[in-house]
Amino acid sequence: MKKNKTMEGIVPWVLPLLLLILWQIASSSEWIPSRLFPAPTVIVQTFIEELQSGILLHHLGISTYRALVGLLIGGGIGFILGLINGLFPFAGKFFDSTIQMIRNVPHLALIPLIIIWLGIGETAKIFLVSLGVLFPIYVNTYHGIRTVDRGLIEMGRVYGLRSWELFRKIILPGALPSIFVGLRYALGLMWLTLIVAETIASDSGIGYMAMNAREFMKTDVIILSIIIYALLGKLADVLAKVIEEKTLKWHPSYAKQK
Amino acid sequence: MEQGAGLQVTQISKSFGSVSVLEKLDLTVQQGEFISIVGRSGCGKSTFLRLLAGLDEPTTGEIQLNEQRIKGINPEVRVMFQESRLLPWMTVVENVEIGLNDQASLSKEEKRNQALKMLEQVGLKGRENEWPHVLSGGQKQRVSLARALISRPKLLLLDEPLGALDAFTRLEMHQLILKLWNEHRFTAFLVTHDVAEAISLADRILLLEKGKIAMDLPVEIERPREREDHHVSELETKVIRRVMHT
Ligand SMILES: Nc1ncnc2c1ncn2[C@@H]1O[C@H](COP(=O)(O)OP(=O)(O)OP(=O)(O)O)[C@@H](O)[C@H]1O
Ligand SMILES: [Mg+2]
Repeated sequence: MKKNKTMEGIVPWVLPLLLLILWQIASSSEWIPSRLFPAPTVIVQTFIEELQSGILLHHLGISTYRALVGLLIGGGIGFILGLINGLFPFAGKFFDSTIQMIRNVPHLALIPLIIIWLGIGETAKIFLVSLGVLFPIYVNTYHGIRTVDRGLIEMGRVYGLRSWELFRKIILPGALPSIFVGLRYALGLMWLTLIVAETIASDSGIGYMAMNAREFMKTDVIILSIIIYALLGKLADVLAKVIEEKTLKWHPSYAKQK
Repeated sequence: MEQGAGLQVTQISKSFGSVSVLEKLDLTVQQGEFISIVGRSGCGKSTFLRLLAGLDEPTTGEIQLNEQRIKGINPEVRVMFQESRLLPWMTVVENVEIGLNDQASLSKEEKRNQALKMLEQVGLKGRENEWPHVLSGGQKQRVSLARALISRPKLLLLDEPLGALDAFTRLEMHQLILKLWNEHRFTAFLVTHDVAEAISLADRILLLEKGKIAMDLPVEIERPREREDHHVSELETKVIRRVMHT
């Protein structure tokens, strides 16, 4: 039985590993042009070099900074708007349809305008990321708050819970599962927006690193950048999931089997 | 020992738009009485309880609780609903502590101790740190009962609290409710569709019909009341006949 378990653990890794080995052989024996498809070992080497020169960390730092600041600003605004509109029906009536209308504009389509307005500096990229994450967080916060079980709110009132306490003990926890859905969706959009923004208009960041490498045909750096983006995306998702599991440990679907 | 609340309901009416649900209803309830309300679905039983709870206001008329007019939600009055309405994100004991929410003078430890004692009284000792979703329906209602009674309310309103439970669990819950009623001496209002349940618990059975109390029947049978007792079964037949008659 135990052997079976380890086998099951290995099986999904077999194919990727084979592909990697194939790639290595094909590239190093020049079956495919190594200039276009540098071998995995070359990429690892590039990784180490870029790491040692400090260039990688420089760009990585800038990209992470943009992502986080954008998430904080956009997510914060989306969360607060969602709260206000969810808690106060009048605000919901007043704001929601307008916000839904703006939401229909693909934010990446704004890039040319934003370059004209804000140039290619930090503000432009942070603005774009903020705009990208704002809507999923807004929509899910709003929805989460509006769908909190009315019965629980009525129960809270019977037991004398007033405004702030009612919010803290009943409304917010009730809306959290939905808010997390929005957060994870927003994290995906956050990286996507950043990749596009940094690739099109930037002089720093991972996206710029890749674009810059293109001019010198350094495919190894380009592939390295792509891998780093993928890892960052995965890391963000894993972090969100861990926080979600911790916060929602009361939820039947997160209950630990004892 | 603290006594339950006396109730004086005078000429209350309640309508929703043009639909009149209660019409000039009068009722007097003694301290510590156990009242059961029966009636067909939609006759206004829940509406009546909501007025008593202060969750809604009567269109006209007034309700007095111990000579005090009911105005809004009152810490002396607690409600138990058909669903347990426990907060899924709080543990069992934290849910019970919600019942002490409006007792600002109590420290955290005191609240915890009282909640643990109350849990013991409803037979859930040792389950305090579990999440509600692992409990059975009957256990959830026990927690809900503990939460309702921990602050020693003078009036307990029960809106079909056992409606979703199986027959055996209901019998257990009847005993538990009676035991706590004997100890705490609150005044109780139980809405139920089960006439046998009404008879086995209540001092008085009220039939709500066309917005009024159409029947007010004392139950003068010694407790514990066995289903096989012919007084009980005769009364049951009588009530069912009366409900179905019109
Ligand atoms: N908030 C409301 N708005 C409009 N109509 C309502 C409202 N609450 C109750 N009603 C109406 O009042 C009537 C009585 O409802 P109520 O819930 O009190 O009945 P009930 O006796 O508790 O029924 P059941 O036994 O099915 O629980 C129904 O016709 C219902 O549609
Ligand atoms: Mg009802």
